[in-house]
Order: sequence, then C-alpha cells, then structure tokens
Amino acid sequence: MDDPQLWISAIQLGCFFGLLALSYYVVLSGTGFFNFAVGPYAMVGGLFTSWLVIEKGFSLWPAVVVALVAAMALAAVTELIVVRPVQNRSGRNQLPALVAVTAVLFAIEQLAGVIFGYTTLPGEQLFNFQAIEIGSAELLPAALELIIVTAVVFISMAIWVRITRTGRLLRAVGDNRDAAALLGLPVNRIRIIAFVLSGLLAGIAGLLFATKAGVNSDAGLTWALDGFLALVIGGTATVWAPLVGGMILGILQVFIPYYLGGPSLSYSLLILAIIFFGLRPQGIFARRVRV
Amino acid sequence: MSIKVRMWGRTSGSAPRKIATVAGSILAATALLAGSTTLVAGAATPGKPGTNATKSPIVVGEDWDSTSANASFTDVTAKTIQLAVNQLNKTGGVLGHPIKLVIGDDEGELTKTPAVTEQLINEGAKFLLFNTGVDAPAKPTVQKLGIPSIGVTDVIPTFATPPDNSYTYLLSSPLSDWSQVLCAAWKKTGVKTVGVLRDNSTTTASLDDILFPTLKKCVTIVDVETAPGTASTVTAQVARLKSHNPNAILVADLGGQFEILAQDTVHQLMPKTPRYSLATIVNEPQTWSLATPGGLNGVIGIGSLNPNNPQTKKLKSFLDAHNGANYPMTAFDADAWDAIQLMKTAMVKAGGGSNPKAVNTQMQKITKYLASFGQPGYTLSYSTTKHQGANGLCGIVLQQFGANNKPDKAFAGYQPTCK
Repeated sequence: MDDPQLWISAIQLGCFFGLLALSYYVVLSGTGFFNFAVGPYAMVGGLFTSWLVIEKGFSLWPAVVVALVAAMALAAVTELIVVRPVQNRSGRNQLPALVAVTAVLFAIEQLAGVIFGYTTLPGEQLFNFQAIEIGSAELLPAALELIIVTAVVFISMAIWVRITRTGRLLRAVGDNRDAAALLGLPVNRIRIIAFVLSGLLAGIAGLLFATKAGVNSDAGLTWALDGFLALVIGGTATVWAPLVGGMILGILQVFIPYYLGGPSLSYSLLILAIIFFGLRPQGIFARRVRV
Repeated sequence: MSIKVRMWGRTSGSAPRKIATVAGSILAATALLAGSTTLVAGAATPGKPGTNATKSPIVVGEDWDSTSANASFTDVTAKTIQLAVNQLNKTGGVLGHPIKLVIGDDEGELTKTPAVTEQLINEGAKFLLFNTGVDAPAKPTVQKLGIPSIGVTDVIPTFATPPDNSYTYLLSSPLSDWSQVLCAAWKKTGVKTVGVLRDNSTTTASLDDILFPTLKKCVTIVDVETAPGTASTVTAQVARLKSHNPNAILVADLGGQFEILAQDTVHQLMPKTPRYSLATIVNEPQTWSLATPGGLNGVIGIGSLNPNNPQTKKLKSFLDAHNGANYPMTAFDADAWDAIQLMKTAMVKAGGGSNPKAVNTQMQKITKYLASFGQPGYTLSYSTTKHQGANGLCGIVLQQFGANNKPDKAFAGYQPTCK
C-alpha cells in the first residue's frame, strides 16, 4: 500500500463513485426512491459532450452545457413521465417504479447508441495543464480535475442542504411525503428539483470520468451499479456518506486485485454487498432518529 | 411575474407540465441533431451502383453487427464492402449481373446469428459475408443450405475448420501465426520474460489455449493478470506485473476501451518496458484518441498493412479517392475489399452467382490471390481442405505506434518476410 500511484487511482475512482452515489442520495433524500437511471445520466453527460465536440464541431464549454442540460432533462422526464405516474397508480408502491426506472436505464442506453453511435468516444478534458509528479507517481490532469470538482460539489451540497430552504425541504419531503403535503409543502416541486439535481451531478461525474478511457453508450449500467454500491456502503445519514462509500469502494477496487489478483475482485465485491445488504443495509452512516 | 411565482408554488399542475415541456423540447432537439447526422451519413455513402451490370442481380447477404461494441470495426468493414460492391457493379458486375447486398444484424449475439443467416438466405442470398464477431454459430446453417460464406475479419479459426466447414472461408492470418511472429520478434529483440495483461472475456480467454503453448516455448511468462473488460482501472494489475520486472508486456483483449486503459496504465507505471498488443488496436483509428497524449508511444501491434505492398498501395489510392485524401486505411478495409474480389473470382469462374455449389467449388480452386494486406507478395490460397487463405507468416505486419498515438511505422526489430 506504499505505492502512491495505487492511491491516486483509488482516490480518482472514489471521487467518481462518490459523485454517482451523491446523485442517488439526492433523489433518495427528496423522494425516498432509488433512481437507477443515474448511470445513464452520467453516460449522457460524458458521451453527449464528446459527440458534440468531435462529431458536430461544438466548442467545449457550450457542448458541456448542452450535455449537462440534456442529463437534467432526462432526469426530469424520468420523474414526470415514469416515476410519478407509476407511483401514483401503484399506491406509492416502490417496486413498480423501480422496475420502470430500470427499463428507463436500458432505454436511455439504447437511445444513446442510436443517436451517438456504438463506438467509444474520448472524454473531453476541461482544462489543459501538465501532469503533476508525486514521488514516483503521476497525477494526470483528468484525475486532478475530478478530485477538485468532487470536493467543490460535496462542499456546495453540504452547504446547500444545511442553509437553504430548498435543501431542508428536500429532506422533509423525502422523510414523509404525505406529512409534507399536509403541511402544504411543494412536494412535486421538490421532487423535480431532486431529480434535476441528480441528473446534473451524474452528468458532471460522467463528463469528468470519461477522460480516463473514453465513454460509450453501454457505460450506464456499470456506472449505475457502482454508484448504488457506493451509496449502500456509505449510507444516507449525511451528504458526506456517499463520498465515504465511494472512497471505500475505490480503495477496494484497487487494492483487492493488487493483493489477491484480478479475478478476486468480483467475488470480494459480491461478498461485501451481501454483508451490507444483510447486516447493515443502512450503510456505515445511518440516520439517527430521536423518539 | 407574480402569476409565475404563484404557479410555481402549487404542488401540482402546470409547473411540472412546463418543466416537462422544456425537458421534452431539449430531448426533441437532441433527436433532431441526431437525425441530421443520419441524413448526412446517408448522403455521404460513397458511390452508386453503375448501369454497366444490367442483368438480373445476384443477391449477397451481409451479417453486419452494427449494434454491439463490435461496431468499432464492423462499420469500417461494411463501408468498404459497399464501396467494393459499387465498384464491381460499375465495372460490369459478375458477367453482367450486378451484386445486390442485403443486410442482417446479429447484434453481436451468438444466439441470433443462425436466425439472421437463415433470414438472409430466405431473401435470396447466394453468398454470405459475415461482418461480425460471432460468425461461428452460422456454420451448421450454411453447411445445411450450401451457401459459400466468408468470415471477413475473423481471426479465430473455428469458422473455417471442421466440423461444418465445407462452405466457410477466412482471409486473415490465423492466431497460431501470431504467436510464431511474436516469438520471432522477441527472440530478435532479446525478450526473455513477458508479463500478460488481458481482459476476462471468454473470447480472450480462449486465446490462451491457442497462443500460450507456442509463446511458452520461446519466453517465460512471468505473470498473467486479468480484469473485467468494463474495468474502471487496471492500476493494481499493472503494479503486480511490474513487481515481476518482465522484459516486455503483452496486452490481450477485445480492443477498444480496455486496451486503451491497459496501455495508458502500463505507459504510466512501466514507461521503459516494451509493450505488445494482441488486440486489433492498430486497425481502430477511432480508439487511438482515447489514449492520453503519448500513451501508445512505442506499442507494437499485430497488424497486416505494409505500405510497400503494391496491392495495399493500390487499394489505399482507391479508398483515398472515394473517402477523401489521407483516409486512415485499416486491415478491415483490406479484408472487405479482398472478400469481394475473392467472391467475384469464384462467381466468374462458376459462370455466374446463381449456383452456390458451383461457386463454392471455384472458391476452393483459388490459389495465389495477391492480397491487399500483408507483406509485399503475400497471397491467399484455398483448397478442399484449406479454408483459411493465409500462405505463410507474412500476412502479419508488426506495426509500431509513435508519439502521436498512431501506428505510423513498421517495427524495426523484426518483420516476417514472404519467401
């Protein structure tokens, strides 16, 4: 564990998983619902940006804006056209909406393949600067970008949730939708905000991680599972829990293959998931409720 | 303004509808953008069938997997197949009969290949071209129905070896040749220990049995590290390889993202160690840009294009004329072109394309066809028992990437030559 390059790789992965888990967290906090479509939102954030720049000749920043707006729009459409109607018809039963969102996941992947093609496109680096030497290791610009943006996003989210009215309403609505509605809180508006914010966070994650080895339309499912596992590990007690979960998952993804060999990773992660699902489903950081 | 504020304050009604409208508009705009691409791509399809071939068309079926990740090479192949067919039709077709291509798509799924094959034959196909990564399941169908077929870019011998191979043919050099060429290159450059990094796909794992027995005779394989093809990082695997201090690293995978991730990581952690690639990376221009600047510098890939081969030069000129100057020609272009020329040769000798069995007999009589790939003088030959066209090792060209992440030079350390 004394090789700094391994740690850089783990932190980079941890930041990416943390952002995806935060995307889950926002919707979970605002609606009490696991939105598995965050993986495809992330894929759209990365792939749409690259497609606009490479295939359509867009400048980088307009492409970034369009792609992130598209990710947010997809998230809004998921809530308005899929989750809300299905939940309303099924008496707010979670299972039908979860199945519907899983279908959305595959639908977005297929649609992205048709629109952007099935080949992998290179991610777009936002800023150009030299790699930084850290001892024998090298911190590439793409990794540094991801780490800095992740820190900024988590700090902003922590402040937003704590000091803004919308941030506080987010948790109130997620905790008890019926009670919030009875109190006259804007439940539907808060739900939409949660989904749109989730789309933005996932889009940013995909945009920044795509620089590692490109992005293609198939990436959504893997990323959705990575983010979900990070949230399961971290829990939902604080905004920082998804980051902790992401970091733990990133460290495991690097150091398990290092010490036990590549094939051991899948088995180890499966065992980890079973342990958390079975013994601590609330994650490391569980909400404490005063009675 | 006040109305707007009040509307947003409601818990249901027009605000969500407004948001839905905006979101829908954005998605519609996205779809329109995509639509415009399709139109442009359609308009840009090079060439049109000419009128010189005026008799009834000969239907040729192409199983083109345009859906899965294999599209990274099948799209290139399909485009050149179409170009070659257009050119053939412009110059009189097969004894005056134009070729009509009908397309199927197995979506890269083994289970769909037989159905797609039957569908193409039901549409009247008298010859089949498999432009997919999963052609082997079609063998029983083409054997039963007696339709000669070429696995256009396939390098795994299964398609052209028994059982059910009476009608199936391959162009590319077999994998067993790859290991011989690698061994010769390593012997020449003093490589004695090799570390292997590969994805854990069944296809790549199946290469172990074909390649490793030969490789183990010429070098010591100090470690084999694996990772999923969808891995987000292979830093740990490369760090483990580094601990064995091998003379060279061999990366084996299906190409694309994994290959780039692997090569980037090896470049970062073991910058001075020679790197070899078993993937088709030299033939995938679209993946080169995925690597970090200089990430592919020095990588030696198994390719099949030598710019000094006169046939390659000829095809390059043709492709440049139709696709624009400096078109990045790949082995897939050469495979596609040669597949159509071989098909034409067999059909002409059979007196037309209407009798698949006669065409098949003529396929087996093609000898010393000068290929558009390989070292100068490289030829393909077939017989009743030889359904892989390669004549010797010189169908392989070791290509080396430069600092610009392009395989722009032949590896100076070793090249197989045609006798």
